[in-house]
Amino acid sequence: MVQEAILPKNRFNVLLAALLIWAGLLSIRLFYFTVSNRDTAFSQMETESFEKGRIRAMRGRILSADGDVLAFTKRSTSLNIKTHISGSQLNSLVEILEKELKLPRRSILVKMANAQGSSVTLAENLGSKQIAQFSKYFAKNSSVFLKMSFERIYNTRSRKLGVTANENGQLIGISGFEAKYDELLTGRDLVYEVMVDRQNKMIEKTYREVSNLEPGRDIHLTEKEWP
Amino acid sequence: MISLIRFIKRFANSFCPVLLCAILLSSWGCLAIYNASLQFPQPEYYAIKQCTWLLIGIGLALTLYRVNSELIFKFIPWIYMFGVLSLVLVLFAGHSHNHMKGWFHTGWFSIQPSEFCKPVFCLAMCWYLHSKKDSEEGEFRTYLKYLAWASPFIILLILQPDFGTALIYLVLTLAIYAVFGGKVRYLVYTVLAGVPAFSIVLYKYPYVLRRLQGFWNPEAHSDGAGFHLIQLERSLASGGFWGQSLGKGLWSQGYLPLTHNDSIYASFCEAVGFVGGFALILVFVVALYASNRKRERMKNSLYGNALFIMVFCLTFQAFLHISVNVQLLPPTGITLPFISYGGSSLISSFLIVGFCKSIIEADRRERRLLKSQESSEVKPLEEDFDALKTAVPEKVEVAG
Repeated sequence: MVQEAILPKNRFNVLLAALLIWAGLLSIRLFYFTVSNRDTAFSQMETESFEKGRIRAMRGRILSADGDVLAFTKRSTSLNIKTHISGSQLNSLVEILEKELKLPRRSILVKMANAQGSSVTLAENLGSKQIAQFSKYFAKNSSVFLKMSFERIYNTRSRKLGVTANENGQLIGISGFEAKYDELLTGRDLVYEVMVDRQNKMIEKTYREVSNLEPGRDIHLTEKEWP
Repeated sequence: MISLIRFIKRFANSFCPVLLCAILLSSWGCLAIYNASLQFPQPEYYAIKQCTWLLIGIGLALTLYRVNSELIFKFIPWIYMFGVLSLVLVLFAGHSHNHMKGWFHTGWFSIQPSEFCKPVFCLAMCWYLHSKKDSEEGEFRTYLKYLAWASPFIILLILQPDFGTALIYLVLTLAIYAVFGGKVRYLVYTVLAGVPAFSIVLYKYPYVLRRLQGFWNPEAHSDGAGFHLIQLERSLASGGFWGQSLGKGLWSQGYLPLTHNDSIYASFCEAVGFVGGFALILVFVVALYASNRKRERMKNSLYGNALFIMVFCLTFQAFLHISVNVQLLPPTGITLPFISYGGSSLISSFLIVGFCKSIIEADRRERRLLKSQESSEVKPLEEDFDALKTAVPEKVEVAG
């Protein structure tokens, strides 16, 4: 059928040229993704994959001239779960919570079903042992997280000390010394960013601190006697 | 000492540049697989398995290199039959994976016959057209017979259904016909006939349509078919110009699906950047160019064409894989030869290398034989010339 004499030798060159053009297109496309469009892709990656976290700074104490503690902050830790998770991911999480942290399965599911926000509290006032257990099983999982809440406790009824209010989990002085020395007492929160993968697991290597933690400073008052 | 030198020479000769390049590329592939599996609990699992396949592949390539190509072409109809039979068997006794019945499962490993059939298909098709070279048969009739010769592979692959590999076989069918000097209009007719066939595929397999939709607008299908494409783009972006270096590609570890096979190029580029990715494209281009140069120098057209087509097969497959990874084509599920994880794919690529080397050696033998024949024919002439020289006196005195 095919005569060797009339074999168009250019066919090989045509095939070669076609593949060369293809290689050129691939290289251009590769350059576009790796270099030209890199910044755009990076900004999308940062917004979609990085999660911000905040660790509240402990509010400083107010002490009398004698060194008696007049006001201090009590910290309590609660265990929370994000409500958007479902299916096998939820099942495996519930299994660990039930087995390792001794939380009843039914109560977890009921709480999640009745949840209205993006997360729900599963257990409050966790002890140090439970916090350690949490770190062991959920340190890399951002679907289950610990939330710290602060309560200001006063050992005196003096109005001079003032009061604090809780705003988004942070205690803010609104009157008295609490308001006057609010900046000193508050300190600075630790803010961090970390990349999470598609299973919501944190990728440790990507952890970076946006601001350092500075605990609130104690203030010593000059008056000795407080009613 | 002499025997040692002889052994080293033989060893070096066995490890010809082609085989050496293939081994280097596959070793780099093992590293790429390790890099791509770092997010798994046992990151070395796939890399160790791939190294095992690599050793088997090298062994088979060296064995094939020792086999005479003439012998291979002599038995090619039987090898062809065996290939078709394996594809028939896999439809009945095969193991399903991702809704595709294309593997024989044997506990520790799986065998994908469609991968092993690639070199067989190339050789069989080349052999068929070469055998029809001096045939008196009409060209259209020969073309129909040629299509009938190729169709069992393509139809059986569509039945699996493995459209990506079927596409490779189809393109190979057309390319082989083209390089053997077939009429271009028949190729155009075949492509046109493929359009309604493709419409049927779209109708019968809705996931193919979904993939196309995802390819067209990945952002709109970011939770479904577009997800993979978005992650491919971001892995490449994460690599940048120089790459993040091995083991530091976070995006492919955290988000990219199928990092060790279908998406290995993107994962590889995250580690080695544009520079490494471009170098890999160049390797395949240079391989094809070198095979064409070699073909031009070959005396036997069947050997030359078969060599070119087999390297074309590897290059085409590689470019198809890279095209999907750089979003030039919709996802096809095609692996990257020598680099992607998979024993069948790696061994098949090494079989091609072995066949190529065997063909080159056969041609070298033929040329040597031709040379020796020519020299034996020339010898009497040289003897005559010597005799003539002795008959002529060295000094001729001229009378003044």
